[in-house]
Amino acid sequence: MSSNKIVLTSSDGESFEVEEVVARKLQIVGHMLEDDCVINEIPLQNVTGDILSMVIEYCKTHVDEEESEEAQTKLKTWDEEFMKKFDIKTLLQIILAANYLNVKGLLDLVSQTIADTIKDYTPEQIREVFGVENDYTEEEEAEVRKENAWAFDEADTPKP
Amino acid sequence: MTSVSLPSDLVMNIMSRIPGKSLARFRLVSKQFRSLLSGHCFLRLHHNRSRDSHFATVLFHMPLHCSLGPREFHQRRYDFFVSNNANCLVHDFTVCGLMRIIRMLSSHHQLVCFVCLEGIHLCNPVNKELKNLPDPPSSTRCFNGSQKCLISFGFVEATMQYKVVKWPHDLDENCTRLPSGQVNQVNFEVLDIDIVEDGRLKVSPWRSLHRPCPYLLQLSSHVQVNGFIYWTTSDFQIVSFSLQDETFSSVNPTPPCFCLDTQVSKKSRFFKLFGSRRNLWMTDTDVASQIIDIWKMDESRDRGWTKNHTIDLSGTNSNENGGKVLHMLDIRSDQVFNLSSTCLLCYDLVKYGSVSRDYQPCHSTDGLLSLHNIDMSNSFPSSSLPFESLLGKRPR
Repeated sequence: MSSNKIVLTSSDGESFEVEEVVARKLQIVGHMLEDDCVINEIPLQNVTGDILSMVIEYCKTHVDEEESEEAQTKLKTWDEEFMKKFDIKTLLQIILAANYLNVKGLLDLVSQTIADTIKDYTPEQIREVFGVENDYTEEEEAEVRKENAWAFDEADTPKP
Repeated sequence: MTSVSLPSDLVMNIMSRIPGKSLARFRLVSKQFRSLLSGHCFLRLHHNRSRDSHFATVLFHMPLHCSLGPREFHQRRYDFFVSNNANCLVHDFTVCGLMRIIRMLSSHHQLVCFVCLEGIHLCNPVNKELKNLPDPPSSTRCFNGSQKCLISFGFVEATMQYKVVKWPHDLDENCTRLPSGQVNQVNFEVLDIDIVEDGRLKVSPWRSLHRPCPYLLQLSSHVQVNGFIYWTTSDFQIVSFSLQDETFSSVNPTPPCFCLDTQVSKKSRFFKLFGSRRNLWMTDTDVASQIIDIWKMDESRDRGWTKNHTIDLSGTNSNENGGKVLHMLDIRSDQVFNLSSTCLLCYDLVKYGSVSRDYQPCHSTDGLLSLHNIDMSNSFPSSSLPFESLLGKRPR
């Protein structure tokens, strides 16, 4: 496999020198390399250095996707540990980056992690995280709450 | 907290992984969120994902004590426990009612269908909804003379539809009376249930259909897997009915043990089909030796059959199953759950020889699901279930 080095530059000017196989895990880079084969420095305008370094760490770990069950289990454990490092705000930055850079595996992983994190949030917390304004009137809100009343009760624990 | 604004396809990707109950709560976030979480495109995505999350439903029931009058005698209580793949309880709820549940049918998806003496009901364990379906126009009887259930229920992936099929009460006789060389027509009725916006269900009127069916179906062998209904026939075939195409066809090949040629040597053997974990299974029980072979049809490899396990129940307390053919409820990589007329058995495929008493009569399939085809009115008459474990001997 090629051991060419490629330099990825983040929006805030930080540079990362990575092997071509790692850089190709970012499909956006893969496409650029196909279009024009003499690039060795690629500016990535939508990602900051700290987030880009996380994405690169993921790509380095996932660079050879081995088929064996043992390797898969090891990778899965690594993924779980890797995700534990981030708070919800960072996770949202990473999902944006994974989407922009087109890293399918990371996109799935982060989506699932965010889902697991927010599934017990209140509507108010969801608004905060996703920056959404509550545009219901009081009457409308009461109506929607009534419609979905079953989701608000507290009978979530097994009865004795 | 500073918020990050995500494009709606990313929000959809995340939300499609959220349990239904949380989604209902999130409809309160904003109008835009509500319409995003109610659109057809999102519902399809969410439906597909929840199918993969292997919910399990556990159901108990008991008659409610009531001294008011004979009518109340049928008042029963059903407790639902919905759990996820990791066996964590998602939520539980209770339904009380006058209905007598006779059969509980799995869609191998989200909804459960109850066939009662009084009619057909759909239950959505996720939002606790119980919906009465209209009676089939031909006849309200959902059971034939020998108490065989005439209703099938399943989910059609391609059209995002649930379908209920009502078979004629003489489906058995119909086919056995088949004059040679003539193609028999079967008349049946189909009810379509569409998932519309907001995840609500839209029930269409019953449709009457007739299709050629040149097979000697055994009505009681009927099982449902992945949008297909399967029967065995008295001449050793397996016949499928596609809920999507609404046509019959025979399944080839059949398991090697299940063929006419070797029938002579199989006098004391019983074959049963089971649908579990999105697969079709067949058990081959040798009544004399109490040895059960479990075969599985592989959808991915030309529907070929492989023998997964051999269970030897000889030497165990065979009074427990009364020498009868066991009903396989569920099969996991490590355990098989069987039901006899008196008890629920659990055969541990890994630590064979160990007794496990802490299991519950659950059946977990893709989506939600069921203690299917247990006669709920007789099996568990009291509040305490008759748990009995049999010791397994050797997996193979």
